[in-house]
Amino acid sequence: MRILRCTVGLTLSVCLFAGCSQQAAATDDLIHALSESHSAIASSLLAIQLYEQQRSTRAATETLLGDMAGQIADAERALEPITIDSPQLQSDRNAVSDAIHAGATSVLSSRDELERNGAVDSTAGLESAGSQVDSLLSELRRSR
Amino acid sequence: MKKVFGLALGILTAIGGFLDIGDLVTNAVVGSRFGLSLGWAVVVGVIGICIFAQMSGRVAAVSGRATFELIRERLGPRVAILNLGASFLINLMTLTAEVGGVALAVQLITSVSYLLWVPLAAVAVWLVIWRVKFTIMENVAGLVGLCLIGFLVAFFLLNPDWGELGRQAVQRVSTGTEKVSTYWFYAVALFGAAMTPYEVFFFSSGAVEEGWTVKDLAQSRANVIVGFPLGGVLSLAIAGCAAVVLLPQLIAVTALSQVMLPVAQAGGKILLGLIILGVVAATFGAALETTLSAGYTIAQFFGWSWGKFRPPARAARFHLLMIICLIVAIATLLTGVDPITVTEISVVFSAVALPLTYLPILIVANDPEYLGEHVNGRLLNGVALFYMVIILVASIAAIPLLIITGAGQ
Repeated sequence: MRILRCTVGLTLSVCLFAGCSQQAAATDDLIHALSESHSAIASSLLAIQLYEQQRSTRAATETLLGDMAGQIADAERALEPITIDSPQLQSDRNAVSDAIHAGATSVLSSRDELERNGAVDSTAGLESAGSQVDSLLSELRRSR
Repeated sequence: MKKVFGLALGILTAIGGFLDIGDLVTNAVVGSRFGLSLGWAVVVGVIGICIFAQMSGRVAAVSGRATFELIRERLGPRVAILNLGASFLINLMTLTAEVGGVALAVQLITSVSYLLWVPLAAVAVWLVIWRVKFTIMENVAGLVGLCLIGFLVAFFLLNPDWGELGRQAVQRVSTGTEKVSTYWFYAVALFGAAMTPYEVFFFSSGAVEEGWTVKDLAQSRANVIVGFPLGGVLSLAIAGCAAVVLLPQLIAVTALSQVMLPVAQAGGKILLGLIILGVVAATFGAALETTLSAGYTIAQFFGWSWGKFRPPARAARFHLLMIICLIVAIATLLTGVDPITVTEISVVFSAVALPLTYLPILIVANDPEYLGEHVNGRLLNGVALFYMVIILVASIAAIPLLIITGAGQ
């Protein structure tokens, strides 16, 4: 009887541990995707700022925005295989997905604007997406 | 006067030709993620390449034969085939990365997708190898590559906090999310980037192409001992620029276009233009060197006629092999694989292949049958053996670190 109790206890502990570590791994994946997005948005903002100050060329800026659009799209795709096993994680993933999507849209629209008009009129969308990503990043890092 | 000019030219081309896409990308990635805390890995790598490059240059100058020929003769075909297999595959991967690097750099000037530039870059490499004299090819690429000194200018113009950089150099810093395994992965990558095998094969075969003799030993040694460390300073400047501008903003470098941000911030369009020109020259020069190295290694192993000093018709297999390698590089890049990923993986695999490349060179450099009185001295052998231990450790650690860190993610 004692052996049975020990076995059940051990199995439960292992399951609990595995569940926790799976959740931690999923949170790590979300943080990684957000960090990539932060990097892409911050690079885009810096590139546009340098272009506006006439310190950088249009071709270099367009190339960077194209590269960053690709990076943020990769981050968005990386969310798909993350296994969701709790309502909390589901809600975190939805929030992360929304923030990254907003970032991707802003980077792409900035690049299109630069290609069409030779200038980016406003970086408000990028800044707002950046703040959204940063606040989620801090929140997830705290919860880890 | 002619000698002084030759010496200066040799050193300048060694500086300009030291950096390739592997150095550019890896140093910028490391600077943006770890600041200057991995500067020591660059220093260790540069000392290592100096030791073995001057050794293989001496072997070629004294014996009049390239290192690979001697390795096969001295160690037999079975051992040499291991060396050949590892070196050739790494070289092919590096060639692919360099052609991709040229295309990415041209994209920065034109904003036209790099995929369209890949075939053109490879054809340009082939044309230069086919038509241009060896010395002109080497000197022009090396001298235009000197534009990369702009990274050093940018670093000083950024007015860095020297205290903070000093702190980074002596203790491990990161953005807070980096693991210890990732730190060591990049240490191995930086070491592999500095000690890329093709540099040594190109150096020794180039010595035969240019007809070096014992009289040229001093110049060969000066090129390596002065030129390569100054090239290493440029590597540190790239990492420094990223550490000053990108690290505080938590921007991790994943693209060549991001490497240009600190340059534009420091020196505006003029410096940016200069650096992009330098990147084109450095990657193009390295693409020439890796293409030639592919031909050198195979041709020297099988005893085919080789070298640019012979008309192409007299070294047909050597030239055909280089064309095939360029086609493989184009085909690989046109699959859409990211040239930066190819670069990062190639520098790590370089580290894996290092013992197979450098141990045979050390053995041949100690054989009086080939080098007579010019064999390695005791001190040099002691340092070289110490380096063989480092090389072995880096080689063993490279693949596990690649897997554990997901290629440094």
